[in-house]
Amino acid sequence: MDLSPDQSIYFCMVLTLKVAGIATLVAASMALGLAWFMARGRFPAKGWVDALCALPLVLPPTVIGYCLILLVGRRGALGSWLAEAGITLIFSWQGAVVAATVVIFPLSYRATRAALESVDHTLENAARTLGATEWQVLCRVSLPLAWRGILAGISLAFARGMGEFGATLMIAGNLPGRTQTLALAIYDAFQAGNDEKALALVLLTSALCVALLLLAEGLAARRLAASGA
Amino acid sequence: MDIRIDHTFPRNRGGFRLQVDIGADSRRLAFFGPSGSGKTLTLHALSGLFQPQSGYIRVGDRVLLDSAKGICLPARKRNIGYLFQDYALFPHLTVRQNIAFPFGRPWRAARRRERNTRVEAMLDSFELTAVADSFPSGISGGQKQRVALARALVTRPSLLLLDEPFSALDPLLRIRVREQCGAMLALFPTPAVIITHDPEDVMIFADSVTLYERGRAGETRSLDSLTERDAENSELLRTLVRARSVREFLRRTEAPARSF
Repeated sequence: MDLSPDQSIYFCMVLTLKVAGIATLVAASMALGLAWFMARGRFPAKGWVDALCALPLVLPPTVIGYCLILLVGRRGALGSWLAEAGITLIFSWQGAVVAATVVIFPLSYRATRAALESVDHTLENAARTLGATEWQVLCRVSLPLAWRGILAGISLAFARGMGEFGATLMIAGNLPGRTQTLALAIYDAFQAGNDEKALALVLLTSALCVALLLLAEGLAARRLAASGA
Repeated sequence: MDIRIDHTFPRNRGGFRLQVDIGADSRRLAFFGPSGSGKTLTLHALSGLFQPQSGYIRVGDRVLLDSAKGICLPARKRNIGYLFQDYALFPHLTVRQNIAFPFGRPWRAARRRERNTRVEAMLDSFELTAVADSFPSGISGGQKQRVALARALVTRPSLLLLDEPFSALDPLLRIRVREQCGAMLALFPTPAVIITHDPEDVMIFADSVTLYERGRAGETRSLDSLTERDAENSELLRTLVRARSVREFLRRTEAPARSF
């Protein structure tokens, strides 16, 4: 597949946003579910679950990529099951989503958990005595008071997802026009000695990240003004 | 009302043991004792926020907890109003929304109308209409307490729990708010339990008192039955009897005191 330079940059950008966007959605919802569960449950393995969730933060991305291949690769633990369902994650953009999700999950999880735990428990108890179910306590008290911290975690996770390189390279490969995201394209262009394209991609990536951070900031400020807090 | 609780915390959490055996038919009961004696924990057990290892709680004709039969109603089903020590107003909701919180967001228009009527009536009787659209951060301490009280009473609970209701106020404000709060409560027939370590609170709000000391709730006495003889036996009772005589003295001398 031979794409003209403009088209290929456009493709990279859309793919990057798509991969990071889906990965952020998946990671953020899983993080919210787990953080909610962990914030109220008291069980002995809690420390272990926390450590396991933080693992992708400290492991080299290549290790994460390798573990994912062991898990979802053609001969992996879930590979045959996935193949029967008609899902191929190796060398596909869906694989890049899986890699990004695993890498950014800890960022989202830690921010969500900290934000939920920072909510005054007396307020949650007050809601309970006023007849609220646990679900209503979450939706009407905890989330409205914790959303700023959660959003900060989500925007950080999204930015990190856009820059995901190592695990993505191992599981989805670096196929121009199929799985090549901005971060991979920059490396590719630099290796090929195409400095102009590399620079253009670097500027584009930076601009995207700045725009996203400003957006998140602006959103926070507007909601703050609306709530009068 | 019957409250029986026996709960021992594990040693790594202080090893505190709470033993309560209260049987009272008082409309205004005070738990009186020093901090850390288990008063708040008893209120939490009453409201369902804390589940003791073993216990039995009956309010009116409803059994809320019976550990022998495996009954333990969750907090949301107990219909008990709780006034928290620092009021626990939702900072992201206005005064009106705070009071309307227990009703949720009803789908049916008739339900919504009923909610609005009841909330507006509460705002009116607690003199909060002027600040109905303010957020809790923008109102005074006395107003905050009235909001918390209105929110706790709007569902017409079968019992109201007041946890050190005046300790968050500065002493000058405390006297006025206490009088106001007493007048407001007198409008509602809801039986109430008040926790305090201030004998004045007991005198103004309660008709009976249960003494708390180091996790043990002693017998419940009606205030009228307290005598000078009791004061000799217990320091807590001595402070109560003394506060009562001060009040009686003030009442007798009130008229001349007002004149200057």
